[in-house]
Amino acid sequence: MDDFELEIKRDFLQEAKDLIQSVEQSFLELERDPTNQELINSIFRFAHSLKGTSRAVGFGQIAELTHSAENLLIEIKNGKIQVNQAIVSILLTFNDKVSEMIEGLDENLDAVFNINELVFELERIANNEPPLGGAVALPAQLMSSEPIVTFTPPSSSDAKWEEEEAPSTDHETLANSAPVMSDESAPAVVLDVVPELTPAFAVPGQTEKTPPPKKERKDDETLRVSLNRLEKLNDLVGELVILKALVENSLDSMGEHKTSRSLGKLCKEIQDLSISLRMVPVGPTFQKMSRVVRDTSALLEKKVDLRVVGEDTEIDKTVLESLGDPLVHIIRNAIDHGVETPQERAAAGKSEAGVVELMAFHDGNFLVIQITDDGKGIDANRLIEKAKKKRIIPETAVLTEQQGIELIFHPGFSTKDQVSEVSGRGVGMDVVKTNIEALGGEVKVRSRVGGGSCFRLMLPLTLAIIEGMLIQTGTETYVIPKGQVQEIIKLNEKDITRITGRVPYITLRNEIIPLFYLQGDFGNVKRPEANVAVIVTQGDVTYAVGISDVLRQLQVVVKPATKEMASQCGVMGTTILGNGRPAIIIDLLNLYMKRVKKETVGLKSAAA
Amino acid sequence: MGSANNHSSSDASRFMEFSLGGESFAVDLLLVKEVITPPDMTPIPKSATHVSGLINLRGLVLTVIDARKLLGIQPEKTTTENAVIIFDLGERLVGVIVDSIQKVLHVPKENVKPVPDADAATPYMKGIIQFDNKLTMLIDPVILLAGTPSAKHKAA
Repeated sequence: MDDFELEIKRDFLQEAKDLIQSVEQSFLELERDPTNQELINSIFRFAHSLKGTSRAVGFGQIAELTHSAENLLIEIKNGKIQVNQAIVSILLTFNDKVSEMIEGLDENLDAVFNINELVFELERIANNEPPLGGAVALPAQLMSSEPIVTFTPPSSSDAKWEEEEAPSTDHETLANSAPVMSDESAPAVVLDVVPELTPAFAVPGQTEKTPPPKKERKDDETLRVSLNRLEKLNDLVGELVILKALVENSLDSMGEHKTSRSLGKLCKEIQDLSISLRMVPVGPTFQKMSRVVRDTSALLEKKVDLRVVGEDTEIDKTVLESLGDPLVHIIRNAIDHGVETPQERAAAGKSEAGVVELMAFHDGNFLVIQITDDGKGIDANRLIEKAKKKRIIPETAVLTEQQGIELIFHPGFSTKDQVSEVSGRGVGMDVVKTNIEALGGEVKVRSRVGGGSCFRLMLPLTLAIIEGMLIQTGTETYVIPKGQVQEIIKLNEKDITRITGRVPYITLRNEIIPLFYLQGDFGNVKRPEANVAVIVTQGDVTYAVGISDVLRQLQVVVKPATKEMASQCGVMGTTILGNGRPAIIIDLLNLYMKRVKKETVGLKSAAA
Repeated sequence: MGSANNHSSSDASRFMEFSLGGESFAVDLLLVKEVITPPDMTPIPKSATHVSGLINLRGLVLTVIDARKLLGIQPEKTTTENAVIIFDLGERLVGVIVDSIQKVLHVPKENVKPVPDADAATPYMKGIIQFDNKLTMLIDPVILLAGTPSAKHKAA
């Protein structure tokens, strides 16, 4: 295979991936609006151009499979077959198969797939044949004659297709010829046609008739750039910003304030731009969810409408990539545990179809993804009961309703008595929480029995840059993420209650909270001191971290911690300050969360 | 440093010789990315004593290890000769402080001898270079720097 051929194959695969993803939406839309002729036409055009280009670059199997799908689409287009759920299902299966093949070919350009059953099924539906009887016998027959059948049928019928651009009569003949092909005599007939149909023959007509699919999708010209190069650019821009701070200082000291300001402005613009290059809209990921909703609701025999808001909201590509799995988990759970069956909903006075709303919006330095359902909500009491039975929490524990609801994030917790195919294995919500927290985000849940649930995924807009605070403790300076800081208070020695053998406590607005000394836990000081306390709140846990001073706020480029720091708990990463010195970014949540839980539980039981 | 690579021959190897507390050591030159004068370092709290701190190497944050403390050698006084060797260990860069850099050795392979009485306690000793009537300990920085800091940190 020469370079050129390799290149066009790769190009095709990349293009086809995009196409497949966008056409899946059309299939799902078709299910909602089965008579939309425009939609049917656009799907048909897609199939036609996929068939043409895939054969042109030499992926015969994709062409063959697409050809059978096209036969079915012709019938739909001509109103011979009415679109229903079964039809959409088979079209989606086709879509999945093509996308699987594309993935496979991406890894190995000579990969061969088993497409016979699906081809057969598509042909069967196109011919309006009942699924019984022949359906069982014929695939086996096809299998036995695999090599011939696999490669030839598309070419034979395609030849006709090439010449006539869509008069209905020809499609009928085409479709009618399909049963003949599945007949025993078919292979022989088909074989005769093969020799005169080399790919070279088919290509020119195909490419002329089919406009390049990319043009329909985007009017803004785009360029594919590897993420590596973007990351390198971001790193360098980060360096530029650090250097800028130094240059600004010397410019200012020379009295060149105007130059210094222009430089600052320019650097900020470059930095914003380089960060925005990594940002992609959440739309495509949301679109994949409509498929999840469809399949899950069909499986559970529930009716669910998916509403999507804020598809254009942009987020860092790396964050988005890790978002897919958590979203699938939450949506499946919402449909399985949340949304009731149509009967239950009718009885509760709700509309028959449940609504799952997927919403994305910006909130400060966070991107929020909110998944709301109008189902039966989470029954906190049932969860608490279950948790006690499973000994996840002690028998005597007293939990608030909110704490009860948050039990769903506990590993190994599932309220479904029956493990279903969809959910109920008890791996899910805790994985969601771990995944989101690994991204530096958090998950919040609100729920009302009978009214539905709402999950909020708060994600950092970008992993590369965070808003931080430069703090001093003893002689050391550290950076802490601003997002973790609830408030900062002045610390007076008289406000601190010390109990031997325990962590000291302070009182904040009538709430007793533990006080940790950063200098003691993140330094080698025996008698730590603090003038200022940073108040950290996570969920319903609040604690104070004593430090010497808060120097200023700053934006820092997060760099990984070195391997030598890996064992140190509470390190989020490192960064380089304006003066060129490295600094450690401390993760206050990670550093204290475990200890604070122990301390507060101890405090509460001591009070009781 | 890179220019030394130009006249390579298959039956000879190049090593960087440096001194720690008056003793001579050498490492495979190919593992050395560069040598810098010791910059300002940010200490890492609660780390092992041989971890000197973090440095900024043109935008990369690296840990610097004090080889003298790691090997239990008495350091000489801080001089302008002190240097930080930046090792490229493949998956990461690590800086190592040494008393001074001596020279680049270009020695035939047969002059690298196995360590006599090699024992398990010093697996980082890769061999002994016999050259110019002088013996130099050849160290494998990959083994020397692997894992040790965090292991010692836990003990501390």
